Parts: sequence; C-alpha cells; structure tokens
Amino acid sequence: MKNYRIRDNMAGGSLGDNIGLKEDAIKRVCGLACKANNHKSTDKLYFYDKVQISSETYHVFSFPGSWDPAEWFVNKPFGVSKINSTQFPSLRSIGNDELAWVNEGFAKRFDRLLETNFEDVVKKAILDGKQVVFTGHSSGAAMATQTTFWVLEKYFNPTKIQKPKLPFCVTFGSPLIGNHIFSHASRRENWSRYFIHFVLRYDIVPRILLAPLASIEENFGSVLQFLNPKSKTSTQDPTRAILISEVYKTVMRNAASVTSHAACILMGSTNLLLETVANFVELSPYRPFGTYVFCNGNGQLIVVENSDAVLQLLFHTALLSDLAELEEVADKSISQHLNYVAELQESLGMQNVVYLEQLEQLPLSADGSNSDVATALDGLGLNTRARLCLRAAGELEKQKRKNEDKIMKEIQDKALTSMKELQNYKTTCEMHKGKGYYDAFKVQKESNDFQANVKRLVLAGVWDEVIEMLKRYELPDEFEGDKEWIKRGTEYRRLVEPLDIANYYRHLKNEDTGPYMIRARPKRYRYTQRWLEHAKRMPPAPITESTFWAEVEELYSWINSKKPLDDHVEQRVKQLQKDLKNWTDDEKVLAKDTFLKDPNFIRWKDILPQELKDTSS
Amino acid sequence: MSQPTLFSSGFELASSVTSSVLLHRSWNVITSRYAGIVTNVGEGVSWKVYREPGSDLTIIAFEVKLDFSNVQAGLVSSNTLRENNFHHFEFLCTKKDPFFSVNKTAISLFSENYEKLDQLKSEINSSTKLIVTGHGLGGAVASLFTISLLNSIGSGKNRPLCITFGSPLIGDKKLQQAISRSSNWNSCFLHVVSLKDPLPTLFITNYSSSPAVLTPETSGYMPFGTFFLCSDANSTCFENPDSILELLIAMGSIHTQNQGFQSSDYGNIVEKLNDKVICKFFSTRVENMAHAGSALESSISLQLQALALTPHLQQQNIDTNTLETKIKIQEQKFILHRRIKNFDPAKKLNVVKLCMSQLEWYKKETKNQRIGYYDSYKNMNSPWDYDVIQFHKRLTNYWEKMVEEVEMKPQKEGAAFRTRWLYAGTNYRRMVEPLAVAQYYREGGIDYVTQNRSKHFVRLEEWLNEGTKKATSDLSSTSKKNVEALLTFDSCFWAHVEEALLSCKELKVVREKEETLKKLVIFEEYVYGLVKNYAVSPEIFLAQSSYMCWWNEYKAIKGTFYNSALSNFMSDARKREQYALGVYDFP
Repeated sequence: MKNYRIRDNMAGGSLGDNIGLKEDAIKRVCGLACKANNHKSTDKLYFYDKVQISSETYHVFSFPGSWDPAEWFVNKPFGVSKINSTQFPSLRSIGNDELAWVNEGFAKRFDRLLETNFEDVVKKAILDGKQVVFTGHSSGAAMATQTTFWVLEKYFNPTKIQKPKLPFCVTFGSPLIGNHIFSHASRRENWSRYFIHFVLRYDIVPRILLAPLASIEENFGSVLQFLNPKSKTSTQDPTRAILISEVYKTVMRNAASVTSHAACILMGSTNLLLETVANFVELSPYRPFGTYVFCNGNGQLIVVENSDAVLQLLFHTALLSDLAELEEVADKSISQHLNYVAELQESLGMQNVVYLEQLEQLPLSADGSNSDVATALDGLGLNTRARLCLRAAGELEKQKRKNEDKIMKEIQDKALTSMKELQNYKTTCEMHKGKGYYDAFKVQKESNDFQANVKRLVLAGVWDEVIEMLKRYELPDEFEGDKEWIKRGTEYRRLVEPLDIANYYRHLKNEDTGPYMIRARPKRYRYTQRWLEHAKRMPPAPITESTFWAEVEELYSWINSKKPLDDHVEQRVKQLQKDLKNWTDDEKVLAKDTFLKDPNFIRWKDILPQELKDTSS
Repeated sequence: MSQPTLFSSGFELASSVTSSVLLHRSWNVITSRYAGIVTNVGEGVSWKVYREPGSDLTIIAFEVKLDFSNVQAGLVSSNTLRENNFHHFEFLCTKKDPFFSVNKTAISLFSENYEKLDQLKSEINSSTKLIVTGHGLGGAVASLFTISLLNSIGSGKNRPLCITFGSPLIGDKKLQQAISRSSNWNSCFLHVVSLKDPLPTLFITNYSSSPAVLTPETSGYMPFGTFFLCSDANSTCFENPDSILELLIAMGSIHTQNQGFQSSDYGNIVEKLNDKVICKFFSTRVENMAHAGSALESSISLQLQALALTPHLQQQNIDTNTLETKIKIQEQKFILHRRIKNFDPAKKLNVVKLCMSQLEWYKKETKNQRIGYYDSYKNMNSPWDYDVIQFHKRLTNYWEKMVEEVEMKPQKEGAAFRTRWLYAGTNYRRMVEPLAVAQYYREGGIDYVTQNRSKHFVRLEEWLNEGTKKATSDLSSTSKKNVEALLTFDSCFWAHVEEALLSCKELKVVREKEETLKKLVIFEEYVYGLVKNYAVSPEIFLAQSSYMCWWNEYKAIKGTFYNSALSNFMSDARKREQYALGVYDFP
C-alpha cells in the first residue's frame, strides 16, 4: 500500500492544505483563466503572468479557448486521434502497449502553441524554482492540461536528475480531452494529484464530448457562442432556450449511455448484451482523470479522486428531477459555465470541503445524518441509484488493491523460493560443470534440470496471472510504475527467460510456430521488458540480455543450413556481438560465464565464417 | 478470502438500452414510421425491411395478425420437427441435450414461410449490423428467425440483436439451456415486456389450470435472453431465467385487472422512457442500509421499485414481500454462479504443465532403467510409480473437463476453441493415454480400444485428424530430427501391443489357430508402418518393454528362418540405435 497517499487529516482540512495550492492562489488563477477567454486579442495562444499571492511568487500560464466547432470535433464521431507519442511518451498503457486517445482539435492547437516561443518561456519559469501553474477555462483548460503533461514528461520524468518544483494544472469547466489511458497513465506516473479540475454542478462543458458530433452538430456552433464570454449573442435571443434545451437533453442522453454502460462494468456485470448493444451505438471514449472538485452551488466543495466515480457524478449530479425542469437546468448549464470566478470566490472563502473517499462505504440513501459526507451527497442531489454507482466505483478500486495483495502473497509464497533455487541452479551449472545453465536445461539430463523446469513452471503460473490482470486493468494503475515491481519483473525475465528459450528450441518448436521472438515469446516477458524500458525512457530493444539466446539459435540454424549469408544476416551477427559486449562490459547485466563456455554458444561461434569471428572474445 | 461485494446491474443496463435509442428505432420500423421501408407478405406473417440511410444498420420487423384465441399453448419437440424434415434448428442439440421444444403456433408460422425467410437471410451481408424485431407473435417469429441466424455467427462481436415487444415465450427449459450455453447467443435477445401486457404471460397461465397453483416449477415455458421489464415510466433488466419467470407470473396476476392494454402502448412507453432517461429515479425506500452487504439488496430493491413491485406500493393479488425475498435470493445465486462458473483453461494450464513435466521426467527416469514409463507404470514396482497415479488423475480430470466444455459449446465457437488447444491436447493424449492403457491391462482388462477407451481421448484424436489432413507431410521431417523426445503418435499403441501379447499366449495353447496368427501378422505390419514413418518412440525398444516381450515371443512363434521388413530391422541392434538418432533410412 506504499504507493497510495494516505490523507493525514481525515476530518477534512482546508482544500489548500490537502491539494497543495492555497485558496488565494486558486482564486487568482481562476481569475486569470477566465480573463484569458475575455481578452481582446484573438490570436494569442497563451498568457504569462508572474504574480505575488500572499507573499509567494507564482508563474501562471493561462490559455484562451477556442469557439470554433471544427476545433472541438475534427472528425466524426468523437474527434479523437492517437496521442503524439513523441511529445507524450508516457500517455500510454505500458504492458498492453496501448496509446491514449486525445481530442484531435485540442492536440492540433497544442502543436501550434509549441511553434511559438512558449517552450523557452516555460523553461525559464520552471527553472526559476517558484510554483508554476497552468490554467484554463473551457477549452483553454484542454491546453493547460496538455501543457502540464508535456512539462511533466520533459522536466520531471524519472531519468531527470534536476528536480524543480512540480507544476500544477488547475482547470475550470474543462471538457474531457482523452480516453481512460489519461487517468491510467497519470496515476501510474504519480502525476494525477497535480491536475485539479473545478466543475460547477450543471456546467454542460465537462459533459459535452460524451455526445457524438452527429447528435449535436446542428446546434453546436450556436451553443459555443452562448458559452463564449466575448460573444455578443444576446441572452434575449428567442431561439436560445429551445436550442440550449435540445443540446442539453441530447448531451445528457449520451452521458446516460456512457455512464450506465460504465456502471454495469463497475458492478461486475457479465451480461454480454451490454457488448451487443454497444455495437449498435457510438459510445464516447472520453473519460475524466485527476482530482475533481464539484461545487454544488451552496458553497460546498466536494473533492473526488476516483475517476470512475467522477464519470458517474458528471451524469448523476446533472440529472433533472422531472422534465418540467429541463429549460431551467439547461439555462444553468450555460450560465454556470460563465460563473466560475464569482462562484469560487464564495465557495473557497467558506472552507466547506468534503472528500469523497472510501466510496464503497457511502450511505445508500439520505438518512437525515449531519455528517459532512451525507450533506455533500444530499447537496448534489444524489439518490440511491447514484450512490450504488459510486459504491461500485469504490469497490472496483478496492478490488484492484486486493488483487495486488494477492499476487504479492503469491510472489512471497511461491516465487521467491523458486527464484532462489533457479539462481543456485545457474551458479552451480556455471561453476561446477563449467558450461552454462542454458545448455544444462536444454539437455535436461539430470534431476536438477528437471527441478529447474518445475520452478520455471511455478514462476510462469505466478507471472501469467499478473499479466492477465494487467490486460483487464484489474491491478492498480500505479502497478507498472512501481520500482519494486519493475525490479522483480526484470530479475525474473533475466533469470528465467533463457530457460523458456532453451525449452522452446529443445522441442524444436521453432519449426512449428516460427522463431521464439516473432510469435512465441510469452507476454510475461514482453510486459516486464516494457516496464524497464519505460522507467528508463529507452526505446524498445528488439534483442535483450534475456533473449539473445533465441538469436543465437536462429543464426546458428540459418548458417548451419548452408543458406547463403546475406547482408541482413551479417548485420545481425555483428549486432549480436556488439550487444553481448555491451551487456557484459558496459551495462554489466550479463556475466560472461553465463554463455562463453556454453556448447550452444561455442557451436555458433565455430561455424561463423572467418570474417565474422569476433577476435575480441 | 472475503467475498467481493455484489451488485445487480439490471437498472443500469436498462438505462444503457434506453439511451441507445435502439428501442425507439425498432418500434418505428414496426409502426412503419420511416420512409423507405420494404414490406414482404408471407403466409400469416409479413415482414418489413428497413435499411437505415447513412449507416450500415438494417432493421427487420415481423408482424403476425392472429387473435389471441387462435394462439396455441402447445409445445412441439425438436424430434417432431426432425420427423417433419425441418432440420434448421438441429445445431442447438448436443449429445448431452439432444432435444428441446418450441411453441407450436410460432414454429408453424416460421416453417410455413421458411423458404422466403431463408432467402431473406441470404440477402443479409455478414458485415451488416442487424436488428430483428417484432411485436406480439411477430416477436416470437423474430426470435425464431434470429435463432436460425445463430448457427452462422462466430464468437466475433458483430452479432444480430433481436428486440421483441410483448412477445410470448417460445420455448421450454431445454431451448433456454441450449441458447444460454453460449453467452454470445444469449446476448442477442432483448425482450421488452410491459407490466400490463397479458400476451407475454399467456403461455404461462394457459399451461396451468389456474393462477392459484402457478409456480415456476409448473411452467413448461422458460424465458431466455435479457428481459427489459417496464412499468409506465420506469424499466429494469433481468437476465436470470428463474427471476424473469417469477416476475412474469407476478405480472400475470396484475394484468387480469388491466384488460385495456393496447399494442400501441409500447410506443408510448418507449417515448416516455426515452425522455425520462435524463431524470432521476426517485426511490421510496426510507430505511438506510448502512452495512456493507446491502449493495446487492439495494440494487434489486431499486429494480423492483421501477416495476412498482415493492411493499410500499402494495399490489392486489401479489405478495410483494415474498416476491422481493425470492428475487433477491435467486439473483444472488445467479450472480455468484456466473462468477464461479467460468472454467478458465488458461489459468489451470500452468498446473497441468507441471504435471506434464513430472511425467516427462518420469519417462526419462524409466528409460534409464531400460523399462520405459509404460511398463514401469504397469508393473508398479517402484515407489515413484505410485506418485504418477496422482499426476495421471489430475491431467485426466482437466482434459475430460476441457473436452466436455468444448462439446457443450456451439459448433463454430467450439471449433475455434479446439484449434487453440489442439497442440497441448495432442501432447497430453500421447503422453497420458498409455498410462490409462497400462492401468487397464494391469487390472486384467482386454480389448481396451473398443471396451474401455475414454471418450475424451477419442475426441482429441478426431479433432487432430480433422485439422491435420493437409499437414501430414510436414510431420515426418520434424519427428525425424527429434526422435529422442518423440511421443508415439498412436496413443493406443500399447493397447495393440497388449492384444498381440494375448494372441501369442493364445497360440501356445492352440497352435493351429489361423485367425490368431493372422492378427499377429497384421500387428507386425502395423508396427513396421509406424517405425518406417518415425511415428513411434524409440522407447519401445528398451530391453524390458512389453513390445520387446512381444517381439521375442513372436520371433519364437515364427521360427528362426522368418524374414520380413520388421524382422530385418529388429534383428540388428545398430539399426534401432540409428533410429533413436533419427538417421536410419528405411529401404
């Protein structure tokens, strides 16, 4: 449980103390965020202010939003595209090798931002050592968010030695900008707490991208103008009420689609009708991430960190009591979006903050209690149905931690002893038999070799279970970023993968299913390799210190079959020789004793043509 | 390990369905609200086809205009259908469940129009998204049409969705079980039923003499798929057939007081639900259930409130307290069963691999003893022979279950499954079946192949033969290189050896029997065929193996001057050694 922050003051405490940014600073930042959207200039992509707040200096970058519908939806149905992995290498699921989806219009706008002098100004601010805040209102918030991820990767990734003060991203009425990978990745990197999103209860903007473009296309441009603080559109426009009601109804119906589908999954539904129905409709991929602060309109601030719960709240807090309320609520959904400065001035001054944690224990109905949590839930208008959904979100998070505890126990009960015995096996083979454990295992001549195979299979069972859980996102998001798990996975891969390869080539399975590295390599090694490469921010290596044996076998097979040596094979031989030297002499992740005297290695060296023999070894 | 907290997600599933607007679109085709609908008329049934412009969605709506009084409650067995040359639902039967029954009226309507409907099927592109819908008896025909499509859909995600409005039940428990065997199939059916509609409960009530004695056990009909149950303004989903039946019976008690339900009411209901999906559902429950285990109960209570079937909204003729208790128990059982039920072969495979590696080591050790693992296990002379009994049992249990699981699956799904596990299954059969043979003959058995061979071995071999008709030529080159690790291809090889040994023993008693001698010659040719193709493990040549016992006996019977292909091979020990190295070239 070491990776999970535990709140020191369970009774509550001020918002500023708990999130790391003072109330006064938030008020000021909110003002600057909204000011960026009110600015006369229409071509500036960012604003920079160096401000004094309560005797502290802050570098505040605020971003104006865009009111062009084509920038919110670049394509149908939801305007998403794959993230630029060069700019944002961390915004992906590591083991599953799945990139995040991001709103393409917002991403393009960010690209334009980087074409300005923005990068230099930010760098100077970061290195100044004072608190840096990126902020935005409405779609300007999308720019603040992307900038923060970009800065966190550029200046704060694990390989950086110089560690300036971490920046904050504070948004007001932000639209959702990407899919669930944003939440997954930000939690893994431990960046989630630096994103703070303020949402007024009925604000339509945080929900709007849950609707496909086709469903709101006709009226979206008009609604953006109603939302634009600079717009001259009159509030007396006779079509305003009808337009707003129609869009609100459509957005909420699509929000119902997304959230009830998600709620079924949170509740552990196994009914595949959910999947069948999803084939016929377009479900938005957008999901919240970071810390959300809901303002219920009566001065109370409700802080939620569970992104599954936030998604449910975005829907349930904006539901109507009855249809007669539609016009009134729809109007609020626009007016509240323009009211963050006034609303937060009041709320932040009241110090009435509630943290929704341990969601699995929420009361399921209004019980007349005076507790903070009960008041908050009532104030947001949450009924039993909504509370069940929040409970389910809490249960899922709890289950993920239980899953991690369970595999940790398996590691301790089964894997550690097996690893020790395999390490002893390796040492014994190298020292006493003078060859290597790869060959000994491949030949399987003695009882020790059989015991090694048993240990290998025990370990495979433990690690395969880990991989299955990762595939289904059933482990905490922090898991793949955890140094201890990366270390365990790497040690396992380096020690045991050669045995898998020996087993593979002993049974000549390469003749049936092709080379080990192409299709046969188990996921438990692919995933653990990716963990290490990500932690070190290294590109994927096609051949590693744990897989070079497969390359030796393939090259031996090729050369031994008397096929002509083409440039490609020669290149592979030279690369392998170079890699082996690097792993043993430079990185020291591989011992020469492991392979130099091994018959499989020797026979490969022996059949190399003279010009390819490595004279240095 | 503590039990995970359970939730019933029926309320949320209903919200997901409603907000998808699929009900609305389906109903619009039923009521001909779209331009471009093509109508086809058959015997007693008509159907409309609507291809939605700008998308790849096709909606087919069935309509039947029979009066209630003409609808028969009788069930027709699939055996009767077969006798009448109707074979289109045969795929639903398995060896374990060889028959089912369907409603007579519905199947009559379907079979009378089968030729036209079959043509309709051929017009459906496999990549088309398809919704099949219908109201009342039209829904029953829609269900049968969709069932006829199931045989050709695989485990992919593009499967048809059948949405019925007020459809009567169409089949018995066997049909429900046949469809539920595949989660994919079951997920193709969504039945919208109003609390006030008498038609969905028609066959349940007619099947029994009176409502007073009506319980789930007395109903011949059983629901399948997901039921979308709705009151005037709220809805919820149930998937558990027992809960659905319980609720339908309860609803049957209500509709006797509401004779005025009109078919057009479904349009109103859909409209209302669509509007209300963005409104809160107000719970009338006052009690606060603070304990952690109440989430499931609250979920179910919410579902029943949506149907106005709760103690606070007392309904005439219904004991709502008892109903709520029953539903909660049934739902909890269903949800738990769903979680446990999934036999995950991948998870247990690692345990199986461990057993296989133990056997592989056993094989190696017994080879060093120059006896071989078959004879070692048969004789049970060493302590480690007894350890193997356990591995044998575990492996057999695993694969028996695996094969049974595959056979229970619908054909296409089973086929995909078999391909994936064939390598491991074949390896298992070749390694472990000899142990079953050894045990059988140790206990004095005879004629293993026809008398005792377990079904799962037969199936695994059949599936291999199905899959490798094309690839036979590749086998020999691989096996020749790897003779040392070779497992005899014919996992019944040792049974044939034992039968041959019995024949030799028989000849000692009655030397003149021509028939017995002929069997031995056939066996000899069989062995030579295997050896020539490198299809047999060199272990059979170990000094103490049963095969060598047979060979020595056979040599004695045949006499000193007997000459054959096999005797030429067997008489020279060097040839057998070369065989073990994979370098002997047969003439």
